[in-house]
Order: sequence, then C-alpha cells, then structure tokens
Amino acid sequence: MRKLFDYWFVIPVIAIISATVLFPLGYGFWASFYKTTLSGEPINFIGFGNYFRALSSPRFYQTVFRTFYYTGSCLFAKTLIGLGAALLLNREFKGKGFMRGITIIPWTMPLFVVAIMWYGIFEWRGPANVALKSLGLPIVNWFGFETAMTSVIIINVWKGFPFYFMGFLAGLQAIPRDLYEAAEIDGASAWQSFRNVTLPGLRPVLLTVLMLSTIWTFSEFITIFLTTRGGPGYATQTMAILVYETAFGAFELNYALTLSILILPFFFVLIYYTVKLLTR
Amino acid sequence: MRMRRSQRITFILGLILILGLVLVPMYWVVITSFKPASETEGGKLGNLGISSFTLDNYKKILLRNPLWEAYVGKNILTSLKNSFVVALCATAVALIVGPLAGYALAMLSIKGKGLISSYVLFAYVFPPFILMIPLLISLTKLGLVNSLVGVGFAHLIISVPFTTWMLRGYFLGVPKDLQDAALIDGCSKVAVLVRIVLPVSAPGLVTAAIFAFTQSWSELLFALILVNSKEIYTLPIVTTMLKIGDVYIWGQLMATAVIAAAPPVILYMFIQRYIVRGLMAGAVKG
Repeated sequence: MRKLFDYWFVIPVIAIISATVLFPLGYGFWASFYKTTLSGEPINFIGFGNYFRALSSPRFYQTVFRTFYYTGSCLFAKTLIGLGAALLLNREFKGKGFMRGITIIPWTMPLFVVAIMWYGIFEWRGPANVALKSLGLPIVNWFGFETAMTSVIIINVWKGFPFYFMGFLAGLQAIPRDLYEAAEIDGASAWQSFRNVTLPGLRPVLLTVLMLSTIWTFSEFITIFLTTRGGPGYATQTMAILVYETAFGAFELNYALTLSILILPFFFVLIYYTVKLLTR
Repeated sequence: MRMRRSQRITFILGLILILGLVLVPMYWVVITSFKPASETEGGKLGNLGISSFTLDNYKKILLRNPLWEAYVGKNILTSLKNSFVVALCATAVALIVGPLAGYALAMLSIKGKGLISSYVLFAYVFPPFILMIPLLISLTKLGLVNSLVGVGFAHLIISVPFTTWMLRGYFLGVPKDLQDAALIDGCSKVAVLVRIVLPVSAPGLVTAAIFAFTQSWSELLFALILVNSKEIYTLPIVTTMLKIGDVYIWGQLMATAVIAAAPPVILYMFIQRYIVRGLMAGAVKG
C-alpha cells in the first residue's frame, strides 16, 4: 500500500505529459491516414495515401537535405565559436563574471526578438551593410537567393553559441589541474596538451550538447519564419517551415501532419540516445 | 598563469570580439527604439548614432497607435497582460507538479522510475514543430482553440517536463541521510519534501521558475497557430505584426522588442550562477 501511494507523486506529471504530448501525437498519427480535417475531426480515410504522396515528392527529400545542411552548418559554427569563447574566458582575470554574463545574453533573449533584430540588421540599408560600406566593401543582399541560407545560419549561431559556451566552460572546469601539470612536466606543447588533455576531457559535454542542439536546431522555426519565411523560392525552407506552409499556406493539414510524422523516426533515434546519455 | 605579450594581445582582441558580437546588435535595437521615424526611414536605418532622442515610440505602443489599431488593438498592454497571465499559470502548474515528481524520481524507490524519468526527458527535448498540428486538431476537438486556456495548456509542454527534470537533478544532490532521519522521526514523505528538500533546494526552485516563466513568455509557435483574435494575442504575436502591409515601423518594432526582451534578460542575470549547474544535469534549453 505504502508503495502504491508513492505513485501519486508522479501521476500529475505523467498525466500532463500524456495529455499535451502523447495524446496529440497519437491523434495526429491517426489523422495522417485521412484526407482532411473538419473542426478537429479527420474525415475521408485514404490509408497510406498521404505517405505515398510525401515519399514520391522530390520537395520532401530536398527539404530534408536542406534541413541537414542548415543543421550541420549551425552545429559546426556553434561548436567552434562556443569552444573559442569558453577557452578564452576559462581563466582568472578581472571582470571574468561580467564577461561570462555578457556572453550568455543572446541565449537569454526570446527567439522572436532575435529574429526581428537580425531582420533589421540585414535590411538593405541596415547596420550590416552600413558596416560593410564604411570598410569600403561591397554591400550584400542578405536575404537574396544565394545568401539567405548563410544569413539564417548566422542568426541561429548568434542565438545558440552561448549554450555551447556554457557547456564547454563547465566541461573545462571539470578537467583536473594535475593533468595539465603532468603534461607540462612531460614537456608537452600547448597544442599537445590541448589535444591530449582538453579535448578528451570535453568529450562527454560535447556529446550531450551536440545531441540536444541537433534536435533543437533541426526543428528551428521562428528565426527562419520571421525573416525569410523559407524563401526566396525555397532557398531556406526547412522541415518546420515546410510543415507550417503546407498546413497554413496550402491548407493541407493532414498532409502536413504526414510530413512531420515521416521525420519522426530521425528524432526518435536522437532522443533515444540523448535520454540514454542523460539518465545514466 | 602569466601570459606572454602576444598571448595577452590575442586575449584582449578575443574579449573585444565577443563584446562587439553580442553588444553591437543589441545596442542597435535599443538606439533604434529611441529614434524618430525621420531617422529610421530613407536609408538611415543602419546608422549607429542618434541625433534626436525621443520616447515617442514607447508612448505609441503603450498608449495608442491608430495605424494598427484595427488589427492588433489599441496598444500592446492587452498582449502584455495575456503573455504575463499565460506564463504565470504555466509556471504555477509546473511548480506544483514538478517538485512532487522530481522528488519521487530522485529520492523514492518506486518501480519504473527509470522509465518515468525517460518519459519526462523525452517530453522535454521533443521538437515542438512536430506537435504544432497534432495540438491544433486535438485542441480544436476539445474546443480549447483560440482561448488563453488553450495557449496555457500548450505551454505546459514547455514548463512541466523541464521543471520536473531540472528539479530531479537538483534533488539528487540533496543528502539522502537528511530524508532518512526525518522518515524515522515519523515525518510523512510530503512533509519531508516540503520541510526539508524544498528549503535546501531554493536556488533550484527559483531557477526552474524563471526558466518556465521566460520560456512561456517568449513562446511564439504554439500561440501563432492557436490564437486568431486580437483580444487574446500574446506579446510575441503582436510584436511580429507591427508592420503596415510589408513595411516595418522600425522604431516602434524595436521598442516592443526591448520591452519583450527585458524580463528574460534581466531575470537570467540573477540566476546566471545556477544555469551551468542546470546544464550539467542536462536541463538547459538552447
């Protein structure tokens, strides 16, 4: 009896998660076998019709590929900048706390504020082009067909690098000092001690950060939606944008559901390993 | 560690680079919010200087701007209130159910603990865009669409799993002897949680509350699909609508952005020290 009582501690949370995540997911999965939805009720059963349509659509594959490109580029840049900032600020100096505080500000800002801020910065006559001009460089059409992808990547990196910074800083502080001293006694160069002490020491943190960041970067919606809305053409259309545009631009709710369900296995694999990593 | 001259220069250049990268964009937003329209139009948007400082933009968004009265309402105060109420409710629910579950998952020996922990973490990291349409059709069926209750319900996805997961991490650090001693003295488990575990975890509670509140405050995706009448717009929705046709009114847009960004940025200053601890428990969203 005693033991059963203990379950009351977790039941509210299980109920809330089931109602807000699991139930909608199941309902959405069921609705993906129908053609349309009328006031929340799926109608016109078509079996795997939506799935066949999605899997034979080149646009689906192009979008998945584009989203991987976006995610990979963002992750690479965030890792480099985050690591650089962590190495720089992982030492004793006056104003250490202040500098660390400043560095995490982008991450504390609401996503939609970051998006409209950069939308203004990348305006034709905005500060980015003013800066280029004052340096005597040619100005750039930041949201053009060739450049838009790079611009939305820059926005994601600016917003997201502090997360990496915090992870790496914590990781660096967990590396025992003696290891560096031992390396120095052995006559290791700065590069050698970085390669053989720092990097291996950061591995666990790096893995956690990259897993979480892959899930969240791959599903990024707001910064792209509020700047390019996937354009020009389909130049910056990622999975999240494609799902949104299919549902609310083309009003094909059930087909949009199918698109998001098709990408789910990828997330399940990532989430499985993330959960394994974090519940150890 | 003493630095050589060349190292010192690299170090200082690095600091300047970070400061510039973070602060210049923010400075531009703030300065633009104080500029009259004459200084943001006609190709002057990018100027970092200001020649006539004005509070006009703030007055317009907080009092009345006839230009967008028809589609976002008289001013942003209604949306400020809506965002505040939704965030407060989402946080309150999380602060009631989160500590209970976090306590059980960290300190009690119940069967299936690992599975339940995984379930909570699964919900926490799950990508919101996948839930966008399933939530919309589920809430439509339940008649909760286009209401603040619906938005608050959706925001539980942000606040509840996160709070539970983070507090679980915190409670794992509370010495188990503390609990055992109290249980032997005849305390109930609820009393142990309220009188012993929660007081020593105060920083964790505050951090979790601030996270939950600011995440809900900043949330746009769910609000965007669940809300379509101006009485219940939240602040993120109103901010993204401050344009006329395709033309942005930059001064007022940036003033709204400053007001929207201030609460999270200021609150995080206070919990900065605890963030990294939360991150190590896998509990920080980026």
